[in-house]
Amino acid sequence: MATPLLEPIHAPEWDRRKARHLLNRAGFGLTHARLDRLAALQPAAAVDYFVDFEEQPDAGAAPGFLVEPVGREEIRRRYAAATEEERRKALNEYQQQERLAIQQLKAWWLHRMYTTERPLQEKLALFWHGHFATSAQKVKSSWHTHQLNDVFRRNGAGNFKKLAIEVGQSPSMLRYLDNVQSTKKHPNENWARELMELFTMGKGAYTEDDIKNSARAFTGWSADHRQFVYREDYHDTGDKVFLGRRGDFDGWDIFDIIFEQQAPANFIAKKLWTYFAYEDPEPEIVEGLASTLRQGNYELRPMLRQMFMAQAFYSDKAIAQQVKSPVQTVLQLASDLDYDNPPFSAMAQATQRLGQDLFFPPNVKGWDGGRAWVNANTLLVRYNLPGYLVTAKLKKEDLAMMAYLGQAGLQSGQDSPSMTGSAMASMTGDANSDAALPQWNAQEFFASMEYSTLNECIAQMEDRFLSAPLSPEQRAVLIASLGVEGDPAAPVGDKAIPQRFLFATLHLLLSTAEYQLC
Amino acid sequence: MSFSITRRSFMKSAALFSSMGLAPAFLTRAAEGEAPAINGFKDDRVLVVLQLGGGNDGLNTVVPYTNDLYYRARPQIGIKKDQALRLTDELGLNKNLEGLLGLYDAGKAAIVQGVGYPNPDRSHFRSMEIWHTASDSEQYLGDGWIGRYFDNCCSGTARPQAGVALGPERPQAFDGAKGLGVAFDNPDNFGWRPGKFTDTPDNFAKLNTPIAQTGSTLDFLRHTTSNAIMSSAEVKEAANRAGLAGGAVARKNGEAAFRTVAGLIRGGLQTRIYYIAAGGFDTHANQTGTHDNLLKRLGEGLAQFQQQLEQDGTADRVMTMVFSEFGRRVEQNASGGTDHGTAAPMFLVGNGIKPGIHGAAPNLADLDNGDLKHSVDFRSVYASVLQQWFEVDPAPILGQTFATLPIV
Repeated sequence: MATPLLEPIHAPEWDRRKARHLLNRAGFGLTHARLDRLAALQPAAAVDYFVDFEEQPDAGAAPGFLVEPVGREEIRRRYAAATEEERRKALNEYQQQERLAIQQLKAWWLHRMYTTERPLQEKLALFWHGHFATSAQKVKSSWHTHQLNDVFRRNGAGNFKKLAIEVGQSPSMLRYLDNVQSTKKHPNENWARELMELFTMGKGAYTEDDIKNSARAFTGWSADHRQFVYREDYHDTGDKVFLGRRGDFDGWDIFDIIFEQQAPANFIAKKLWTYFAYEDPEPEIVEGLASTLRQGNYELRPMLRQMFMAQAFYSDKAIAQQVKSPVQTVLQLASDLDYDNPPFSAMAQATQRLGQDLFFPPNVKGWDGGRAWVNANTLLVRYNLPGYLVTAKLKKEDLAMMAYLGQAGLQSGQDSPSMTGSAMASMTGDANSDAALPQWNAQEFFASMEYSTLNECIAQMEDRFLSAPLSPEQRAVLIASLGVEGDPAAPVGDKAIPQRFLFATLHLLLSTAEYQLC
Repeated sequence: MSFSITRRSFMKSAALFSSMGLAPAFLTRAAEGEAPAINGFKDDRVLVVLQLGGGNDGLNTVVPYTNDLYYRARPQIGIKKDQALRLTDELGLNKNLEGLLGLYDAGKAAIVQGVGYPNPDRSHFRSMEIWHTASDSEQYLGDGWIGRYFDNCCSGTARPQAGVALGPERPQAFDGAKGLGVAFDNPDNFGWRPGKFTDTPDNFAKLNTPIAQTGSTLDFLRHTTSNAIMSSAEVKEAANRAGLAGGAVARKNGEAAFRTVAGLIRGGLQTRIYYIAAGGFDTHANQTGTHDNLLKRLGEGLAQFQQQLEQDGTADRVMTMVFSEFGRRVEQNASGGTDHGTAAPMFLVGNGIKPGIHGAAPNLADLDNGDLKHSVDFRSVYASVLQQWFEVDPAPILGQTFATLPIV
């Protein structure tokens, strides 16, 4: 099983570039202080910091704004004496609460990703959300949406089989793939199909008959308004043939048989490598990781450690070759600009416009990721994101973006905000509207830069913001955009670079293809 | 289509007069609004593809209202005879499709029944991929059928927006070697916003100049950027010419997208194929109310779109094609819904359509494991559109020869 690609990286090879890569991929690139710390560690210790995340403090409490689900009996009791109109009003209010709660949940999660001391835990939760995708559009419950989110957080680096079973018993998934209503007389195949096609084995590892038979086995896996319920009267007790075995199988048996196969380890190893490292991994990488999984009975942590230590993980094929996901894009931008408390609701809106609406994946396949994040439209939104700021020509749909960058922005041409932070926050419905609107202190940032030549000024910006290097031609464009005449290699001396040109240059730097890579 | 040829030659002579400085004002105005042919293509015809994502229940859309087998399979959710809009002695449209019925009665709509493909796949993703790539059931093709049409049949003057998808995602159908096709939800937001100092569009373009084809991710990003810069300028010009103000935001189920598409056609955008993706048709449970609403929006959307095109004088050069990745199981399930099935009807709408009903009605007495057998391969419909609407040879695009239907 020994392949040089999975050989652990040696301590002498560890440098700032590789530390940054680990920080970007095993987390969300946060923060520059953390980068300095990681670069100073041995690689094994740096990887342990991410993988053994439970040694770090937990990021905080569960959200308090979720709408508690109410059972049918209780609803009937509550509204027994109500008029039709009162009922309709109550229903409207309830739906509005749910809509608000799910929006708040997005902001809550982004906040957690941004502030956590356990970046890999959240990065994995995001992976599993895309893998075991369910949409609040159909589930229609903030409570159950959060419950499944927490399953990903608790089991994301634990045992893959246990995780899959917990997902299968979550009301979110049971509703999303219709197993709640699957009965002996009318088995619903939706969950059974996706369990094998998308969640554990991939197409080709089973037949249509295996789907039909496992759908029968899963009859009875259902949920009440709160939790998983096994409904014996729904269950088909007849004989089933599944993946070559015959018996009176139930849902638990199906999981056991699936995880006796070779396919799940290879399937999930390949997908994890694709998410964290690069697409189309070499077969020996997949086989090596899969064998670690199988040896550990599907414990994920040893495989994750092997992956983040691997030579191939730090190869040129991996570093700065990944298109940032929308979530990564907004979090990294906020941290690159040193926001303490960015407006997370507006950031959630931004991820939606970029094609990653948290809790609303496009379908059960989740997000394709990689180059699929980018088309002419989403790319322009990415390029525009840093440029939004308070300008005179306010447009309603721009407010989210403007709020995102707070009162200071990067688009040059405006020295002072034309709207107060709280006014913007209220217009965008930001969850943080009570707090003072966070802002990026541009003065402080530019003052903290240390350079004596124009070349050094651009080099500093490049080092801070980009994982991929610029070409000499690009650097020349940026140097010219600083608006200062003279030899770029000569000391600038007392000629300060006007701040509006620093803004403009940074605006350009963040509007590059290179900034989309991590 | 003789009318449109006449109209085109009229435009040409108007343009000629205009260049000689001799044209009456009303002629130049008419000629300025539209180009005689779309850049890169041989004429001015447009195809609008409307995708009903999730698997539209064909049997409750085009209803076999005299068939006992239908009502036996669907005791609760079947469309009652008196709720169907009569097409023939055996077929009716769902009552919510009045808009479509109007188009059909006016000779502007065709229905192709029983459309599917051999060895149907019941996975949304795979079946959608099969429709987008026009592959066999067991075949995996990277490029889409529209991308291959662009690769085979357009010249170098085609613009990046030769294909326009209204919505956040560029459909796989656009994928092709030439990389044509853009996606946006609103023309207003489609472009880079420069600042007022050195953050100019020129510097932005210089920083993102395409590099040699290396296949790297960076290369891919640069090319996409360069395409976006070019086409965003042209999209905005077309939207401005059409008077499309803000608010033309595409929504999932199409009405606003239709309005935007009609406007961009009116505004003379150099676009051959528009793509609109609607969703929500995956009606596994309690489907009646949901499906009724979806069909109502579909029928009204198509009718209003046609009306707008006629008002704009562009109706003769637009055809709309409606499809879904599969139909649904004949028998209803225990949840008052239907599971993934196979064959389903497609619709074609436009002034140039040969109206009527094509293909054989699905035979409910001859099912394959509870599912309908298809009578028309979806690639026959693509082939017919390519051959008769775009007047190109469909074989190199589809990789095989398919029988065509007389649809134009």
